[in-house]
Amino acid sequence: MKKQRITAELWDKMQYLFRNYYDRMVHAVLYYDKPIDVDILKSVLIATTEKVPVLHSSFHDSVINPYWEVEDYSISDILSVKDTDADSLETEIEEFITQSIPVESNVQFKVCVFNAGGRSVFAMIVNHMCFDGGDFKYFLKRLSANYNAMLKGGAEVEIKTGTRSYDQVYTKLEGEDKETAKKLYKNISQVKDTHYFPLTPSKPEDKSMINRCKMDAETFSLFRAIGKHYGVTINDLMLTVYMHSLYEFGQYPATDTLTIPCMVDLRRHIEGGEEAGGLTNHTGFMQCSVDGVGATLNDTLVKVLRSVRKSKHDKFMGLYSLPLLKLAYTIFPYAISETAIKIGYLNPLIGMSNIGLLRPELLTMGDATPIDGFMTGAVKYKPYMQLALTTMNNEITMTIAIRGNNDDKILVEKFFGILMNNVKRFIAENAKYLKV
Amino acid sequence: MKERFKSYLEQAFRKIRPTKAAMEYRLETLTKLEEAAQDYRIKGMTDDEAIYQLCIDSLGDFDAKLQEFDRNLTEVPKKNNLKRNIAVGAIGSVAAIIALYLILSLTGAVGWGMSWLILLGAVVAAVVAVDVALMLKAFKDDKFLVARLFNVGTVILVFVFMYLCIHLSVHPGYDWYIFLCMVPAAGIMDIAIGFVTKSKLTIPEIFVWAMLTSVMLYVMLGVAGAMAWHPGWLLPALTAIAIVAIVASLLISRSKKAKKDKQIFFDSTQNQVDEEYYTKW
Repeated sequence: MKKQRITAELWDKMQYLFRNYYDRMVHAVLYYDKPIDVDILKSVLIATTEKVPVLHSSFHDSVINPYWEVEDYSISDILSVKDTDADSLETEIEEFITQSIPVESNVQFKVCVFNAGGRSVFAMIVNHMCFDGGDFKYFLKRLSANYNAMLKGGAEVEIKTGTRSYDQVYTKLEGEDKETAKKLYKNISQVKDTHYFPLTPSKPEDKSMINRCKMDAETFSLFRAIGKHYGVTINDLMLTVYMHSLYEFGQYPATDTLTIPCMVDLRRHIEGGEEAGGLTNHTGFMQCSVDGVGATLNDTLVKVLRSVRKSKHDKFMGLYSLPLLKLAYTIFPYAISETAIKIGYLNPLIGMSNIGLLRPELLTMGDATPIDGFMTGAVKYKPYMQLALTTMNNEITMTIAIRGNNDDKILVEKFFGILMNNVKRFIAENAKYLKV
Repeated sequence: MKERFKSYLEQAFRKIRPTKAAMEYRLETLTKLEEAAQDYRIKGMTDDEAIYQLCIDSLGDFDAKLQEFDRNLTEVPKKNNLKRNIAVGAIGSVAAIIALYLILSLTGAVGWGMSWLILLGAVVAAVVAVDVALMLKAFKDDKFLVARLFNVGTVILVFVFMYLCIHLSVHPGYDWYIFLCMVPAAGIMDIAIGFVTKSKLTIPEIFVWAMLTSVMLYVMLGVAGAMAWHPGWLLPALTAIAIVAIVASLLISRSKKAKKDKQIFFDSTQNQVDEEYYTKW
């Protein structure tokens, strides 16, 4: 019997192209306070996978037009359960989430439930070609809602199954604005920034690693309070501390211009937001450029704000370059368009992605509530790196996922140290605005 | 603070006409003022009155700006006039060139077999202008390879036109020399670009173009009979020898410098180690 084919959408192809820069996986780990019922989870996962064919498809890289081919699978291809102890839990989680699913695989996501000390940890990786961080959050929320519904006797799972097309991002725009947005051919990846995050040269023994650092609830609340006083977002503050720390850690000359792209969820432009369409990628980016580091963190914050305001005032934020990609994939056969885009695309050396808030009440599994967790983007290959942020239970988990060795781990940890010191310095320097 | 800004702007905008554009400008200015206030606060200012004054001052001569804004609204057609003038100017130039071509041809001042060069010259000039504009844009975007390709294209176009002019008007026997001259000319232009853009390949390129130029010169002088083929061959041969000698001396001096730097580094490292040996307990 001939297998069913699914068209590879623009972002599927783009994410496939990104295999040259990172491992194409998106990761999530949720630590629950109680065990998860694996049998219910199995049923929910099967029902969900059945509704979203791309999750059980293999990707075929064709010269003319690549496509997905729907494959048979069993739940054991997706879900594994491991009983472990507290000592080896983190090692096993790291081992699971740093694996990469080949595009030829029959399933494009994997889940592992770790049971240790009467608690469960839910870990999931998914091919970035299927969906991005925004829809990953939606997927986890639906998984929880469907699990809870099934626990109460329901049989139907609900998950969005609509179009995966990139052009949904124009649905909120009207008239002239829509026309203008469809003509934004400007290649925004072409902002040259040669600053890189100092890591060791690539070695054969390099392996994928997800380095984590946590900003505790107390620090976060002080940080947020100062942000509130100044009328700035946590994203602005984190970007400031990040950029300031990069100058310090990378020893960039203080007057150098540093440009960092910040990932932007394009669902803000979609009618219906995250509920619209199907599971897919809708991520663009805004450039944040500072013309040198500030003498103080507050000075750097002013520089960051001056840059991000431009993007914030731009009604087409994140929509640049999409028509250019569409044009390239339309007029050329896939093999040529990929080469052409590869020539024109400059992958940013340093990036930041604020995945945002994970709300525990939307991620419960029966009476098991997540007490901790994080999500992170793909594991970047040197010299590329990205800082990803997840907020949960009033704590921020910062992650830097890279392919590297022990020396790189030490460097990243040193960087986290600088970053946290700068957070504390910022709080100390602005402590007068904190209400006692 | 926001209310004070609003009330300031409400008063200020009464001095110009109440248009939709003015309303948008007022909103834009309010955002600008709020952002400026935010910046001052973050920088450490706490006195609201001082922040307010600084923000208002940052607008400069706002009354004059408003008047200019209002005037520009009525002067929009003038902008269109400018565009129209450019378009009319371009059409006028084309018409003038065609007229000149026809007048010179019809009056017999220039033969039909030659006068078409006027039209071609205009086309070449237009293409060169576009080429130069694209070349400058490529420079601005740091696309040096593209800029150099436009440079070569421009040189080729100009030399082909020069060849046609000389060939048709003077009928010399050696008008094809133009094409031989084109090679070193393109080289000189490219080397000049190389120097401006500080390309690392400029020095090796100079050697290549020097060699090519000497060969072209040898051929031209030989064909014209201005220099005997023998011992004229010494010209490219000596050029090649000179280039090899220069390259060798450059490599030797670079190697010496590297060795010297290494020694300095080694000596300084040794000194550091010694110092540490005597002072560390």
